[in-house]
Amino acid sequence: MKQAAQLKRDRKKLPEMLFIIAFLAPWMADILVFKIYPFFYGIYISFCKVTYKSMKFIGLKNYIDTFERSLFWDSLLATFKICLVTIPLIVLGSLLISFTIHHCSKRFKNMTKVALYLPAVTSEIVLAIVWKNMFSSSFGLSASMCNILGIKPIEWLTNASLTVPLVGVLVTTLCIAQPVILVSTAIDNMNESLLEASALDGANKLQQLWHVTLPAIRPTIAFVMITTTIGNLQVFYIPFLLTGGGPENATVTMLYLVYKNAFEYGNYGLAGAQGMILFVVIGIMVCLQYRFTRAGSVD
Amino acid sequence: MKKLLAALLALIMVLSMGSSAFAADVELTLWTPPVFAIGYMDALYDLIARFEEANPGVTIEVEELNWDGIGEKLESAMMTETTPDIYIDGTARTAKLPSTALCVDVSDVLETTGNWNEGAINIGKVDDAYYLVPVTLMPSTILAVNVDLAKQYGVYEMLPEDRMSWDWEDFMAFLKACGEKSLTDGVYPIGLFAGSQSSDIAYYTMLLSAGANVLNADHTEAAINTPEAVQVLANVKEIVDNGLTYPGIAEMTDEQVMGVFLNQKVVVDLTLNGGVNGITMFNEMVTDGLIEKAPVVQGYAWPTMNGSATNIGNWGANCAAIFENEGDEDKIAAAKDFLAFMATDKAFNETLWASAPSYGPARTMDIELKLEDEAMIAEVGAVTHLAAYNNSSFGILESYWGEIRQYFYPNLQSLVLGNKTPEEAISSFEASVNEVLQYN
Amino acid sequence: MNKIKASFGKVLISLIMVLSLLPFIIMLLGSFKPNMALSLVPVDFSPFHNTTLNNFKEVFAIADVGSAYLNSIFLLVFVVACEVFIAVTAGYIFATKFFFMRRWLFALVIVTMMMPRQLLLVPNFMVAKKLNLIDSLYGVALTTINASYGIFLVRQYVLGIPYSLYESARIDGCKDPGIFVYIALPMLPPIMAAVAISSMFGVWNDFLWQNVMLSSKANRTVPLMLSFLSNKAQNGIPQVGIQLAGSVVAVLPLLVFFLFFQKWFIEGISAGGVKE
Repeated sequence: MKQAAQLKRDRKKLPEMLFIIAFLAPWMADILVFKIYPFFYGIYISFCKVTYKSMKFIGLKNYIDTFERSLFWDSLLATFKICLVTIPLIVLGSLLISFTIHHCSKRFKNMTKVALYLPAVTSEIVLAIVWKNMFSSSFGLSASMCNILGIKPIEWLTNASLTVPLVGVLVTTLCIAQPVILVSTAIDNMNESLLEASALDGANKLQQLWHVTLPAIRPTIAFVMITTTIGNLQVFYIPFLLTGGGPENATVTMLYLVYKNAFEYGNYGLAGAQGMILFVVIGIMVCLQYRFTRAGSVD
Repeated sequence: MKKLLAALLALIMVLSMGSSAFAADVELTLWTPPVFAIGYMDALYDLIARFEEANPGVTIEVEELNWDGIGEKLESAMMTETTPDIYIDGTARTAKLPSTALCVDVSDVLETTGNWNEGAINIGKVDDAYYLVPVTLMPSTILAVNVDLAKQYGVYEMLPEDRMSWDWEDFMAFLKACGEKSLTDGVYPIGLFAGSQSSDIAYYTMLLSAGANVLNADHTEAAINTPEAVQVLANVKEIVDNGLTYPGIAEMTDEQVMGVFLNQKVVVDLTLNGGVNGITMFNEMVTDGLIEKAPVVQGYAWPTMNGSATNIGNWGANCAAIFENEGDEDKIAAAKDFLAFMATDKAFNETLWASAPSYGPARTMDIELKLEDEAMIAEVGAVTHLAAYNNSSFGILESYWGEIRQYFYPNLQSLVLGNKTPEEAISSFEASVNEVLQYN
Repeated sequence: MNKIKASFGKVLISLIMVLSLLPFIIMLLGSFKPNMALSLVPVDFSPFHNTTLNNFKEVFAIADVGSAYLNSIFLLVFVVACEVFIAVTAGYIFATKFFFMRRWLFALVIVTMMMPRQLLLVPNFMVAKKLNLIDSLYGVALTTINASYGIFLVRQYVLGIPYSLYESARIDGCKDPGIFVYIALPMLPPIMAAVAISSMFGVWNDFLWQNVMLSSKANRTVPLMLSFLSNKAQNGIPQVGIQLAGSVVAVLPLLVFFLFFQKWFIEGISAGGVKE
């Protein structure tokens, strides 16, 4: 409180304003030219019929077309289904992994973190080849194992109810390294005395976990949740490479649709509209999450 | 002294003006992916060198594009007017260029060079102007049969001698007879795929040959919902149900099916466009030390149905286009000269044909196929007549074909997984096609 | 209870590690097998027979690996340096100062993270064209910079620096720039490293944008070189072996760099970390 009041008094000084402006300038310059202007340009495009030589303003037609066509709603569903798998998996997975390695040697911790980074480093073409060979139901790893076990090969890639979770799990392996590092660091840096105090009060491990540890690292968890949400609603590459849209178009995600319309069909206006809708969806999800985690309190 | 200086100055001025007084120095840019086989880029550079020699003042700079991301690159260039002067590529990207109004009318090039394959030049025709100069024809989408295996299982005689005269009854009989003997060896008669969109032209060929069609004549409506089309899918289902195709069809991609064929686990393959590619692949395997001897591979057209004519779905031709850009007269003239030169140059066309024997010449020319591989020459000779049945009018050249394509293979997947009957699959595809047409 | 939880956690970690390591190992194994062997189905990755160094020889013969590396390294250094710079300056301000519309401006940071990249591709290309940045490494660099995540990280980190440190410096007569340079900056290297790592691999592997922006051979970066290798797959003969070898060549040095410095990087992040 005292700090805040003091800061407010400081606010009136001019050199300070200059300092603030100077420090915000690089960021503002960058996003004005390369993010905000293109974004508004993109908004404009979404209201136009775009050909190579002309851009004709057609109002909401692109949006209406988007909402009328069933593939769009399928892609919305597909995106949400995949995120339903990835976001909890990443958040909970990073927590679980971090707790598990918390008591291990530093060397083991580092090794784990590095190993988790490997898929992000391997080129996507390679990942696609390998995964296709792992999860095919007629040859490869999964099929061989099923044969050994004497069961019918699991149809990972042809049964939509299996493919969608599988894509989710694979996306998780690509995205989990960064959250693990952040959460693990937060746990390591937590104030041990809090734990000791609660132990003195007679708390068992589970209670410690729930009432002491988790609240202490809540900002980190909130951060991970929001960035993961934003990132995963834009999932595109893995469905693109692995399933080509999945069994019966079950893994066509929203960004995949934008990509197709922009670069395969040359229909930029439609792609722009779909991209804007995706943007709005992400915005809604982020707002919901902010409310849910009350992360705004850090502000 | 002053006079000397003045004279020197005048001389310098005249000399510096003189170089620009010659024929305009033209610099052209040419973009192309490696559309043809090994040897294409070298042949192209050689061609350009000879052209530059014959036309001093013209230089052509080549940019070899990557296959990955080529769509984005071209689209971005077209949107921002950073297109090259000349663009050479297959119909997947060139077919839509005429309707963009970004290209130059090349009717004069076609007229002066003459002897063109009618279907090939029609790809670039919009109203009465032609905007594309074909370079070679695309290969015919035909079946590849592993003859060694076919003979081993005693079914080689069931194949038509002229490579095209058989119908679905014969075809099913062939597959079943083969299966009786081969399945015990773990070899399957055919490798179908439903897991990827690429190489789906095999299925359109299957439908076309049976007398079905995707779009109606003016491409205003879907024309796929016919008894023939339903029967074809029913036959596919029968093949799957009888275990005659390599398992896992719903998720197999064209590359995987090819991989199975190369492993000699299937007798008939639909993705290799006939014998020539098959021979090339097997020869490569011999070179890599994976097998000792390459099996004989031959190409056959798809079976027909109810007496319909053989029809081979085809991507048309590889074409060259000239982008107008700023409308520089000299550049356009030079580019046209180059395309005419390319169309008539014997050495270049012979090299192309020899390196990619299934890509026939787009003009009648006095060139011969110069190959060492006897098997290859024999196979090219045996299937040359099939090129006459090439058909690219079923919609594949339309700008919205990409959108239509994406709806076919999911329906095929539903069919083979048992989630849709043939009628349902066809009806669903028809509805999707009509939807695409509505929004285009 | 704890034991169950520990072993469950260990099982989960092992599972994820397998899924993570397997593609990488297979990439390594595959790069030593001839092309056609990798196109067969079922594919045979076994290192015990039919191996060849040919793929690697081809990679270095066909592609100009050295120049591709130089270009990519330049790009990486430029982009990461700019991102760290922006992240530090903006993140510090968001964490330490109150000012007009601070909340909204910070919301803007989040909003820019939400803009899908494919959507911005063509508008960004048009902007780049107007600024004459096409086919230039500087152009690619400027358009690749994405500092939003970094700003987030730095802000969280700086929030953990006790205010008392600033106060004491102020009492000693330090002004804002001084406070930043003498108090905050010395504490920032760990989080700067974190920002660098978080975007390092993305920038290195960003094929899509680099392909659209760059044309000439001289400007080719590593992902473009990799894709160029697959160009040999004309007439359908797949070049999977060469592609895998190319992938190994493309990623191994970066990985070695990362492994070598990970001790410093990750320990650095751990030393600082996201405090409350």
